Amino acid sequence: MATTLVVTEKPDAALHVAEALSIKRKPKKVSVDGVPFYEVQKDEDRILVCSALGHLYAVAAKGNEARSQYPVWDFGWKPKHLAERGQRKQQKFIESISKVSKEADRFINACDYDIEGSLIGYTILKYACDGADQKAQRMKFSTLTTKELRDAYAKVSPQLDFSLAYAGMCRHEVDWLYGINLSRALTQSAYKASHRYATLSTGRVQGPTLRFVVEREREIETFVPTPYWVLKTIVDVDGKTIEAEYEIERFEVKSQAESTIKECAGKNGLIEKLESRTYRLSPPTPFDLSALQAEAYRHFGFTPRAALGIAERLYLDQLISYPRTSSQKLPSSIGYEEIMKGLSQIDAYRSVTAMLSASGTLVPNEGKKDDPAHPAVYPTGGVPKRMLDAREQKLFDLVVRRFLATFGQTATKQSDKAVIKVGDHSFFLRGSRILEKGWISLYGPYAKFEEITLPTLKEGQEVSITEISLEEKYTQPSSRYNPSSLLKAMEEAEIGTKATRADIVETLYRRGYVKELRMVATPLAFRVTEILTNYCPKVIDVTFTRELEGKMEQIESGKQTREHVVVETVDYLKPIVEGLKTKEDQIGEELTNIITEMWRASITLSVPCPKCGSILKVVRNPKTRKRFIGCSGKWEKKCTFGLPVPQFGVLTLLEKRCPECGFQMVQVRSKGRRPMVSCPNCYVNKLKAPKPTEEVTIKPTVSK
Amino acid sequence: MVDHCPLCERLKEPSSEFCSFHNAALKNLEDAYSSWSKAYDGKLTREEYYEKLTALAETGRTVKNLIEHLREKGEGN
Repeated sequence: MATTLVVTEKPDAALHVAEALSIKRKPKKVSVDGVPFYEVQKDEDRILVCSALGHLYAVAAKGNEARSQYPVWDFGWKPKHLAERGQRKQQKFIESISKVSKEADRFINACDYDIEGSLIGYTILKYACDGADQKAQRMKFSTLTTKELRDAYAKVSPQLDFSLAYAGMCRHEVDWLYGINLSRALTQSAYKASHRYATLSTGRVQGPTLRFVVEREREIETFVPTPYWVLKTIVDVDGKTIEAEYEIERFEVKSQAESTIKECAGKNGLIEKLESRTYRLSPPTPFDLSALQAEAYRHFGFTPRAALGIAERLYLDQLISYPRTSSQKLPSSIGYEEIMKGLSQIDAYRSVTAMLSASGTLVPNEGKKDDPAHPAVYPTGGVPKRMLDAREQKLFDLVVRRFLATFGQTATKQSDKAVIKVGDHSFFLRGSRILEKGWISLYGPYAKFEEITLPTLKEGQEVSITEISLEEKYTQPSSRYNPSSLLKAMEEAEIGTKATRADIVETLYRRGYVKELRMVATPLAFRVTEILTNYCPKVIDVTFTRELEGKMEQIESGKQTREHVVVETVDYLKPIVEGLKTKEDQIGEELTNIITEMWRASITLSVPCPKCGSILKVVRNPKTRKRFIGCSGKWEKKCTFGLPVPQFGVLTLLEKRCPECGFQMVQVRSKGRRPMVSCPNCYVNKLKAPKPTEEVTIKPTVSK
Repeated sequence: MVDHCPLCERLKEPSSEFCSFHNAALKNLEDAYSSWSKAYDGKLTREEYYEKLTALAETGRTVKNLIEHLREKGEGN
């Protein structure tokens, strides 16, 4: 009897794989030193399905130097618990997998089919399973449905996808070399000068990304608006008042706008021409990850990282396909009809799926982007087996409706325009309406079109100008990035990967480089970017990062070797980092004030103490170490004002004021959670407020 | 001797009163004056221009600081 060890990426995936492979009986859950495994009997063979917890191995320095030491060029792959702090759980998983692997004579990597999944499986098989990577096989799938997992097991690839794993290794190694050396150079320089510890980080992708935000902030900070004037015109058509547009959208000289008003005010106009145009609106393309993240932000305000996290939960629940995809294709092999059939079991989609199925052949409106590993994101047709939370429900509905909409008919829209002549001046009335809804009705609330219906008009008809006035306006600076638009900018610049971009955006917040949802670059972000621009401009150069990205992609296709790219990176970084080391004092000097200022600003509130008017600060109780808002007038004025604040997560004082009491709002960000914005003052007042009288329900007594 | 911009901690640009950041603001301020002046038929004084910009939310913070500095130096008249 042969024993096969199947390695999956997460515990939920392990359960689904085990369930799919056990045809007659339920898989047996066994525990090896507290780590769960699933045992499956298949024909004469025994299959053991284990899971990782994401990466169990990480890049780390070879020696045991202090964490502050740099440059570091000697590295290797180490168990994650030896490379990073707080990874005890990972140690248990490595030890258990290693123990169980001794019983196995066949190995399969069944981690997610992409760079990270290939690397997770490869490192486990290589390091924990005594070099089993060389004889291991690869299961490839895009959903965790029973059918697809069984197919993937039956058609297992005879060997691992080494090129993907090596590309992943290279990416981790290059990023580590960049991050560890440059971040330590900044942190150490600052520490040397200020003796205040602040984690300053930069990286191969983080640096250019931060530069986007800083450049936008610089544009906003140095923006000078210019004035322009628009005409606000109301016309009366058969007793109905409608707003009209003037032929010149904006006047740049005030006197010209004023003379136009003089010439038109109180006069009647004639409808000279009526025009109508019909447009065809194609259905949307299927979701790739970035489009999904953008729509989730637009409709629900989910950050890209949150959207990815929710999508991954839905994937693990067998409800949608693998979300980390760049594809906008839906091959027919995914089984459109089967998916429609599955979705029809959900009340909300029953009528729509029936309509689509009855309309004949199903052909999705595919986009251009492709991904060799996975199709676009689509619903599997599975029905939720547990109660989805509100956020999961929203994202699931978005994925389903987008999938359905891609199969919809083209919609048609009509635009109407009436040209009104007042002397030599032209005004326009505009309307628009949807003639045929097509895919719009399938996409539901996510397709929004404003319809403006014009009254019945005739050429030669007289209309009167009832109101004409001047509105002074100003040119606007570019908008600040939000997490979603920054992610899009990274994608357009071709830096980072679909798997890492959302995390990089989050890191900018965690490091204090940006604040607020509309990303405001902090003085620290400016200073770090300026230092990098002055001392090592290539490090934050998008072109250079993109080139490196291209070389790493070549590893995937076998045109480049991992060793070559890593050696090239070291050769390139060495003089830069050594140069930074010699300028530590200078760099430290440039960072000192900003770090001290940032630290001060991070704990000082902009609202004064409501009791004594002194400065309020976030301080810690020396005994309990709990943080709270305290008054600096405590000693001089004996002020006892204080407010509690959340104890966990990164606390940021926002510029925003509470709409109810005007106190300064605070935000708490914890890893993997939505940022929480609250008013400490209202929180306390709510606690102090008398509780509403409990309602007493009197149950009727039933006499037998 | 290290020469700093009078409005921030950055270093002055060679043969300039300000750093690159405030020089960018100064350039935008100068460039936009002709548009403002034309908009009001050449009847807008520099002081009025500065006054209008200072009151606008759209004007960048760095530009407002620069205007304050220029006014203190008496360059608004």
